[in-house]
Amino acid sequence: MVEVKLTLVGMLKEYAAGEDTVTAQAGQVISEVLSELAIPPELVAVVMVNGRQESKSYRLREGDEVNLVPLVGGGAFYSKESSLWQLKPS
Amino acid sequence: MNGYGGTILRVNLTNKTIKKQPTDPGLAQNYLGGRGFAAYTLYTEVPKRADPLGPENRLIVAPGPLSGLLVPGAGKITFAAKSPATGGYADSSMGGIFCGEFRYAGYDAIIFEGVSPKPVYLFIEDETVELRDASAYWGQGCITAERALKDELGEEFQIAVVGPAAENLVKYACISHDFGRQAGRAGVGTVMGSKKLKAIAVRGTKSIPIADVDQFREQARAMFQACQESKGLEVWQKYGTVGVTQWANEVGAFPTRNFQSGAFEESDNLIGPVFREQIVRTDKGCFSCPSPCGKYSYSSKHNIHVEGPEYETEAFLGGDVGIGDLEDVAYANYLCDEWGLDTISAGNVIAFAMECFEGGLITTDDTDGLELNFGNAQAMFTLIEKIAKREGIGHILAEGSKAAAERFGAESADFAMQIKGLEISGYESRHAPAMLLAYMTCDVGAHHNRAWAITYDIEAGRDKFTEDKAAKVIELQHIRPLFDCLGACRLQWVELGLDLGYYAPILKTITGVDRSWDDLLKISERIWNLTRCFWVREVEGFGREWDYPPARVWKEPVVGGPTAGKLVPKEKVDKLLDMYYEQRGWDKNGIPTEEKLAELGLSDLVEG
Repeated sequence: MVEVKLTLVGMLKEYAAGEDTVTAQAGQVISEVLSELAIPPELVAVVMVNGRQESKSYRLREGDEVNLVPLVGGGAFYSKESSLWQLKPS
Repeated sequence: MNGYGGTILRVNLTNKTIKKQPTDPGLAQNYLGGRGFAAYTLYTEVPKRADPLGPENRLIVAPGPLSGLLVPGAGKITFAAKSPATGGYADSSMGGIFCGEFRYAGYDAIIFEGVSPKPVYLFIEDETVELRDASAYWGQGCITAERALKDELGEEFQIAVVGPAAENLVKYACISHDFGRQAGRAGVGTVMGSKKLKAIAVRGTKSIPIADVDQFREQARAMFQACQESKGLEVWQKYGTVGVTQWANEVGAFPTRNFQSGAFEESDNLIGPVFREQIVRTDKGCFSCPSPCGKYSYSSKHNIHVEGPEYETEAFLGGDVGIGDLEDVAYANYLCDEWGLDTISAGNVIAFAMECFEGGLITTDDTDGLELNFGNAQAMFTLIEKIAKREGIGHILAEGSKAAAERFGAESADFAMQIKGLEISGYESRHAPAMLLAYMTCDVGAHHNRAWAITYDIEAGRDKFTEDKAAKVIELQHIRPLFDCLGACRLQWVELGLDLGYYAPILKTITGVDRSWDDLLKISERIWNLTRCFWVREVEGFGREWDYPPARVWKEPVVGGPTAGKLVPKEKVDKLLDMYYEQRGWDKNGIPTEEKLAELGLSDLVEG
């Protein structure tokens, strides 16, 4: 099986115990990977694959460079390291 | 005074006097700049119940202490007035490069008062400030007039200009700059048009005094570096705000057919990669921007260049009017830019008219023969021009959807998608209570930029109507408008995740005044309460009723998409307001209490 690395940005790291990257298999669909990591798909604003925005139904290929980008400071998603993390979901 | 030019210009357009007054250090201390200066000036200078389109209203132009400095995104300037669209407080922030020249000319604000008997523009070159005849430019579109003024004065002058929509007093006319940047919302352009002020042209060559230049440079470099290292940069630089179009549809937040739905079946034609690969020609950033989200585009179908469309414009000249052809959206964007219309309100009003037409409330007899069905791009193009010229049905729609609903009658007010008279911006919120509350309580009417809380709904649970939702809205209503006081763009924080902890220290290096982030938030809270008091004073009977959304929110469930069937019952709307008012220290009708005003140092300013 060929592995593909996905980079988690910002608060999405919290779904991988703080790790920046996770590994998936070529042939998997992004939404399956999100499901395995228990990341709610609505939290992922943009999926970037090799510098291009793709949908969550994109099927991973060998050599893909993938960034999963959340929506950040507009609403809830302060990084927890920030002193400005004030309100967590109840 | 470090961080400030030290001079405020007062321009009386009636008698053509121009005065230079020193900037009050107390004003800078308590209100920072930008929106803060504007709110204070409007509250203290506009006579109670003044006509927004009359000589007593003020138009205020104000950068902040970060504007024009090498801080990420410090390219913002505020335009403010009593709104002709709502009758209440209005400010709108504009990007581009205008604010830099404005600051280098040495000014902290311009206060326009009166009405000129004939069209004029304000010329500023450092100490030289003159009102000049603008007859030759009157009637020209924003892009055309800006080009002509630059041809006359030189490229180094930066121009803020209004178009025919403002001249014709369309209630949602914008102020335009740099061929596609606008102060768009709540009719600040209309006020400029009412004063017969066609443009402001400014060039400056001075410097801005900084308390500790070495520390400033170090802080600013760290901020730029953090932006450059952000993983979000790739997304936002490539697609700008259109990067979220796909997501907005996935979560059922994309306004579709006058907010009947939150997911548009043709949205795949509007998403980031299609936009970038089909029409974008180059990136276009504002002053001192590390993450240029502006996109300059070309439509071969219509043979026009346009900046955009942005996400909000795709929402309102696309999904909300049922149009999924990106080049048609771009062309409508171009038309609004040239005529000088806010694309959010213009699209929202057209969508309202389309729903009225499809529901039989208006017919071709009312629309000058236009078949105003959703998806009819040609009808939209025609209607934009009719609104700008106030021709036929355009004369009614030029007043905004609230006023138009009063004309069209029947139940149309239920789906005139506005709050306080300002058309709702681009997030369907029947399954996003915090976002709905943000719209209900926004201090210029229903605009997203004061509290883009939908992300919090998604993280915290979209069905929850809990205290933390109100708390988050309040928190954001203090953070986000603070950027409009500082004169900086909030998108480095929103899009790149730039830590808010940078801002108080860098402000200290500029002004020399030691203030914590909490101190700055307190200033923002003071301003929020002052703008609320402005509404209370200016609008007879102002209170809870004015915070209600249109009845569609509780009467009609979302049609189709991932949020199908969702609505917010009226008692939940009231619950949101109850929680919000209590947490704000306001009474049950949404009026700031004496205790709250005293806490914020506003007791002497606000009349009982």
